[in-house]
Amino acid sequence: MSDGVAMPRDGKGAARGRRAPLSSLWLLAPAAVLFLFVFILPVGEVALWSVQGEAGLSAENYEAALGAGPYRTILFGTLQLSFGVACACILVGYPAAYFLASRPPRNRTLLLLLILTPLWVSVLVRTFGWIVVLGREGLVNSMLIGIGAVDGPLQMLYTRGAVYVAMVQVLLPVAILVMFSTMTTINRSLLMASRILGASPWRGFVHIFLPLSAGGAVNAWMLTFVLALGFFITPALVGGPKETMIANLIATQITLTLDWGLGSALGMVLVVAGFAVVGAIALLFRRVTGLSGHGGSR
Amino acid sequence: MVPTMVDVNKPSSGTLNREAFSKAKATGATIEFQSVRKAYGSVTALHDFSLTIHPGEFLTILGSSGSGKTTALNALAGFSGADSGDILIDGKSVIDEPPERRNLGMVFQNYSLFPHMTVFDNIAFPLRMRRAPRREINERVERVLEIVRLGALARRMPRDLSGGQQQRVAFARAIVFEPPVLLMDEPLGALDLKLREALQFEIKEIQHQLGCTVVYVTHDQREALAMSSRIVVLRDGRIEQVGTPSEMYDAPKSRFVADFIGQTNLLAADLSMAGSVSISELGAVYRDADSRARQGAWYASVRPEKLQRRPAEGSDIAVDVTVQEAVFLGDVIEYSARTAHGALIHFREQRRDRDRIPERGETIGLVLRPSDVVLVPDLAKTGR
Repeated sequence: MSDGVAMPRDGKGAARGRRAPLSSLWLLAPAAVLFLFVFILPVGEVALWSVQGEAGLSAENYEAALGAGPYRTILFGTLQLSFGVACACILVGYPAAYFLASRPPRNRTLLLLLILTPLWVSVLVRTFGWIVVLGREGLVNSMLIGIGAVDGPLQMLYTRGAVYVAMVQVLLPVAILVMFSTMTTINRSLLMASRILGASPWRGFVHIFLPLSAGGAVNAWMLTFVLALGFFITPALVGGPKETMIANLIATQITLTLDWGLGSALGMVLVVAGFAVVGAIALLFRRVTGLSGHGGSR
Repeated sequence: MVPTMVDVNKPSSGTLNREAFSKAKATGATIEFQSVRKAYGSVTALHDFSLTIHPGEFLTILGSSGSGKTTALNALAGFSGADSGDILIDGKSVIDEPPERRNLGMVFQNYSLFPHMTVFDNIAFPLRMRRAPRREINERVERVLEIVRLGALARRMPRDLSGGQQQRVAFARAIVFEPPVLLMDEPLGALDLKLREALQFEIKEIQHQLGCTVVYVTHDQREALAMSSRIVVLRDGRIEQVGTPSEMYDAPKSRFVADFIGQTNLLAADLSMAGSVSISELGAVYRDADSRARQGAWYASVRPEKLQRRPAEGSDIAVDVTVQEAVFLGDVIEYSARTAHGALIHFREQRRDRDRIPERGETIGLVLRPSDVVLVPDLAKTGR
């Protein structure tokens, strides 16, 4: 059969074949300079501190950070908590993003605004909000005692649950936003096509919408996970001693015990662990679906 | 989840029959629109749309954008309900059925291929939704890939295909479960002219093989003429005329249809009670007994090929025109010319060997048979 229209045969389409011309690289310059001074150089310096012992180069800081002991426990605790928070953000955020994306565009603006409002308030203020809500004489306890559901105040503040709730609340808008933006690129006529070809609304969702929006969910997961890893204020204010995150520990090393070497080593471990988990998830997703993180849309 | 489809082609044994697919013609279904009305807010997209489509027919709904053609198709597909009226497929009302229970094949304007599935999986999708056994899915998909000649591309992703190839995958996906009805929503609109013409023939050929009823929506009157067994012209949500392509071309019933289908010269006509027709822009008067009963604003529709350069005979109308433009198209020359009464008309003639092409400003004599003039009312002016 004759075929007049030639299209790129390359699997990755136009993106791979197209190279940015050298003349437009200067557009990257401001970002590159900033990145160099606020990320590469400081991280490089921290990396140097982390391998400096009493006498020259030494791995003692890493031995302390990764050897059996409280530091390793806190590191794994941080990874675990961040993992849980990221998963919770996806589970709670996905339906919300789906709801948003299925509104007609003119109705979305207000709803998006409502979801984004919390982002305008500083994390500190939002976390203090949770202290007011969850405290011994906070809103929840007063209410529960008021209706006679409990005899005395429940211990909610300074628990792992409080840290979860507060961190999910802080990170949820980010997760929703990332998933929403992927969902809006999914052509709704694909769902119509699935219906006429015999799929019920539910099967259409499972076979078409879910796989096409999975990339956005994975991106949202990675972003919330990385952000959660570095959380500092929230666990410090609403969590107990057990919920100490690695970021709190680093702060202690740097500002209180002045053990900059150990603090730096902990920081490096955090960076590497974050990269490792995110990289593993991205690779796994690619393997499973054959898609890159930015799901197919057409 | 309960199986949602009743596959009309499914033999009682419970498996789809390959023999049935390759040999027996799937019989197309009868479709009846009964006074279907649909409004969006204050805009009525479809007024009392009634139409019966016969089994195996290739029916084209032709109209410009906003004519209601997509509304009619969406009502049949089940994407948008109707405010009133009913739609019957093989005598059974489907108006309350969701799309997935109507057993219709459909090709969308932008193909709507699932971007995360291979060509094979796209085509297998309707079979999987019908819970066909794996072996049968493989057989059917391979067969239909052969029909559309895409066998080698089964493992490709849609984004790696050309527009024409994507169109054929969409077509294969729509026919793989042998639906008794195939809906096509401007399926060739995004392709270039040459490919479009090639695919027109292929679609016709495959429809003959399958025997399904096709409802085809387009705004392209050439496509409609080339493919359809019948055409429905829609205008502002109402049926303007229904007929075979030749009926629509030769005997348009309104000024709109005469103008919309094919090229024509539309000239104001005065009909007298005495039974004479006067086309002042041609300086022509002739007798037409039928014209006595006609009222309102009428036009004479004169197809460009009906104006000929030849000696006048009998009751022929002779018109002298001054050539404005002569466009050489190889086998045909198209002219625009001005009559002595100032009207610009178009005509065309077959080019015979070494004919001299008249030049701009040259005056030539044209001849027209009164029987080739079609008188059409302007429905917009006379009211309905």
